[in-house]
Amino acid sequence: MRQGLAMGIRTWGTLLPVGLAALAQACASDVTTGPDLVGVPVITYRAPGAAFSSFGSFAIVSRPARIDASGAPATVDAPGLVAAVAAHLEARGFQQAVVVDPAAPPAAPVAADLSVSIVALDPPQPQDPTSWIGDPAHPAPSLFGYAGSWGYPWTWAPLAVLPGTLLVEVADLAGAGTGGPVVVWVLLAPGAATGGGSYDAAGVLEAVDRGFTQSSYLSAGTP
Amino acid sequence: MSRIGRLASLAVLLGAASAARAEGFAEASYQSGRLISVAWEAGRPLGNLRDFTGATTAWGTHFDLRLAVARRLSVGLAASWSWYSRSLSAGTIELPAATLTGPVYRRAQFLTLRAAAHWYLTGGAVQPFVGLGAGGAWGDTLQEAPGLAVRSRRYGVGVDPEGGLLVTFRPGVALFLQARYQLASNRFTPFRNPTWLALDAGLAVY
Repeated sequence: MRQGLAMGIRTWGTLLPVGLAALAQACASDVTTGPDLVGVPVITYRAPGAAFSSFGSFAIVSRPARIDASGAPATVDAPGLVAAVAAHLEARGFQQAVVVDPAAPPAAPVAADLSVSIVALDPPQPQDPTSWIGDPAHPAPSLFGYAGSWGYPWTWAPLAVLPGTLLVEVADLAGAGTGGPVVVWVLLAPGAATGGGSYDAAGVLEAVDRGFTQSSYLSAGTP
Repeated sequence: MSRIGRLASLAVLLGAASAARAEGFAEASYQSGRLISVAWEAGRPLGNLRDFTGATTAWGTHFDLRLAVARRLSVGLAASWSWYSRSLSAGTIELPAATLTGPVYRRAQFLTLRAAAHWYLTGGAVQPFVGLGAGGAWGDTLQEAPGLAVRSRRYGVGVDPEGGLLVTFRPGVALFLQARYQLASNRFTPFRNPTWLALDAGLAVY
């Protein structure tokens, strides 16, 4: 009896540390975030049911708008960025029909199926994902001669807007109602221009490339 | 042969003889014994889970409680926890109506609790066994990109054929080795029906 008890104690003495270690591992918090993630995410949104094959032409701004803490309308000089966005759309079969000068927006609706707005988001600190939507410096449909406001038919991911964020918005002008055009595609790249602050920088153009690459459906030939 | 060599040989022979005399688990038909095992678990993700986390080394634990109900037959409960993770310099996270690319960290962890039955092919010190388990599986997946985390937790049903070996090296204490093919029905956002091969190594007392 005593021998059995002693053997049991010895056995458990061997197993207990193993068991406790196993238990500790099993109870490890799953809040651990893993390795630091450094880099620029590029997120693209697609309007559910949007038939991109029904669009043939687009109107694009000549200069990206800039939204910062001032709230005053402004633009940035980034011809390379505008050219890159236009080139991607043309490569997908869309035809550039109109170039809109933000300093002199058209009085009547432009003759194009899609509008392409490019925005440099430069908040001094990280902001809510949709903080820019209500900003007075955010380009309105009137930039393309349309009334109303943009419609966004999706739920935004909780991705904070950082200084140096690139925003590209493509809206359906052909189907615009009285409330305003519906945005059918958005590219958002938080922090893409944080390096030198230029929106013609390689990091920004790379974000544009990634955004289009991950949006294979964005094509004039895609139903 | 040196004296130390002769002593070592004698020790090995005595150990082997002792093991050979050891009675295995669930060996006597009249015996109603129980076995408890604790083991480390390494796993290899398969199918959808492999696509999600890759073939990275996994760590986990396994716990087994078995009751001998007949000669060479036991029933019991088993539990396991396993963890898989992968970091991608260029990964993709799919969301409803959105796609994100960038550096991505992915992780999946699973807890299973199963009822299991095992049949021991032989008696003695070395007992190979085969078994079948069925029960519940809880899983938790996480995808992280800079500024975004997507998590999915789901319950599912799990089934697992398994096989292994009990190597009794002293009375009532055995080395526990087991391979388990785990199938689960969890439906996570990024994938469903995780499957993995688990390898367990630990100690058992009975």
